[in-house]
Amino acid sequence: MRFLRGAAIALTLGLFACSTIAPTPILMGRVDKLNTEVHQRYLDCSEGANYVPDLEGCDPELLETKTIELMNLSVELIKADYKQPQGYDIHLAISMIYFRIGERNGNAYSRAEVIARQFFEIQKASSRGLALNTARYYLAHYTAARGSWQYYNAIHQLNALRKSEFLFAQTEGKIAVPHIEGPRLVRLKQAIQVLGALSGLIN
Amino acid sequence: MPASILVRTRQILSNIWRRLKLIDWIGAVFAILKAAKKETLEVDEKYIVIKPRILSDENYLRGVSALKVALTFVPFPGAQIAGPVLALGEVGFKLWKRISLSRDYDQLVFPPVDPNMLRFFVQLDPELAKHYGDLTTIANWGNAAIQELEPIFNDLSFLTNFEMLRAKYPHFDHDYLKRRAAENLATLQTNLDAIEQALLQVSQSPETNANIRGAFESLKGLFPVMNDWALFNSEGFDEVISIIDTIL
Repeated sequence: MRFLRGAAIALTLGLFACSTIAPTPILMGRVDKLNTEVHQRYLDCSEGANYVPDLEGCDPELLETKTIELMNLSVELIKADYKQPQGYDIHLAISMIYFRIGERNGNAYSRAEVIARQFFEIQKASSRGLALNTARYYLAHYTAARGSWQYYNAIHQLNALRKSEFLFAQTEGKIAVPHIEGPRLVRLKQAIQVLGALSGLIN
Repeated sequence: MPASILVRTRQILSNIWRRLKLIDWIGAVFAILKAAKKETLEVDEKYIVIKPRILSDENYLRGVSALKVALTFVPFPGAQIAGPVLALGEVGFKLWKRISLSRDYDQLVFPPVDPNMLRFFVQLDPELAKHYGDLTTIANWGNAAIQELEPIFNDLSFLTNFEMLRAKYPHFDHDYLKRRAAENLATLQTNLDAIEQALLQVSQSPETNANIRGAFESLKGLFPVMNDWALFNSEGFDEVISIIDTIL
């Protein structure tokens, strides 16, 4: 009887862990699988660094649907453990694809920037902060991306507070430069340049 | 109700009461509170836009810890079984999470350019603005303009060979293209310098140092070509790889 009771408790806990605890093995597996699929679909639609939706084998609509699905799923991963960097990393990397292929509106940019800021603040507060420079990279990128959007669509939002945010992101981006490599470094330097120009536009 | 059942019930309740009296209630309360205490996170709440779910694993693990402590104070059969099972669940879960989260996820080699940043950049850069500024005006801006500008912008961001840039963009100022190629080379080769330093650190003698340095300089000489071919011509990339094979 005692053995059966123990087995029952173990089984209940196991089922509970697999279905309700986040990140569940199921959630992690889905994120991983979908992430691989979205990357493959994006590669099917690209030549080198360029997005070419006319390529044979490319399905832009399905790519966008899957990208949005993965963005939502990665938010679940962040909710499940908001201190771990993986959820943020996947979400922010996938958002870059989304902004290239999908709708670009102020709300989406704003959300990406605040998530990047959360990632940065948590990494900064962490005693380990292993992904701090990655977080700086995303912070600089999304602050610059939203700033560019504001410049064209909501220039009245470029005020003194925004200038301080641009300068802050630019400073943090510069700190990350020695720690980021390859094409990501190219994008980081571009973001730093854009942030400098944007802050220069505000008196 | 038969008297035997009443007697039996009374015995059970009496046993429970006797066992409950054995519990150090004050110790139990303190131990449970300690196990369930929330970890402090020194992040300003205003930056937390995605909050943890109630059933996040952290909360679950806190619950498991509290339950484990509580069970050690409960002198009933079953609690002794549940304790180790819970311990295994928590440790097992933490271990699984560590393994699971440390996996490498797919990342794009070339992060996509942001269209709004691209537009801003073209207007910011006098040479780009001179040739393509009209595409960034309100009237012309759209998907077609993005499709046209992206390859040009990426070429100017990633190509490290001046000759190739000049061949593709003969209408651009040559000094501008030279500067872009040099800047791209410096940016993309940053990690090569780090690799060289790492290799030299583990080498044993000045002779080995010299050999490593020499071999590395040859490879570095090829890397601008590799970068360009890797981007735009896979056959050319294979060719360069075969040349490296013959050198090594």
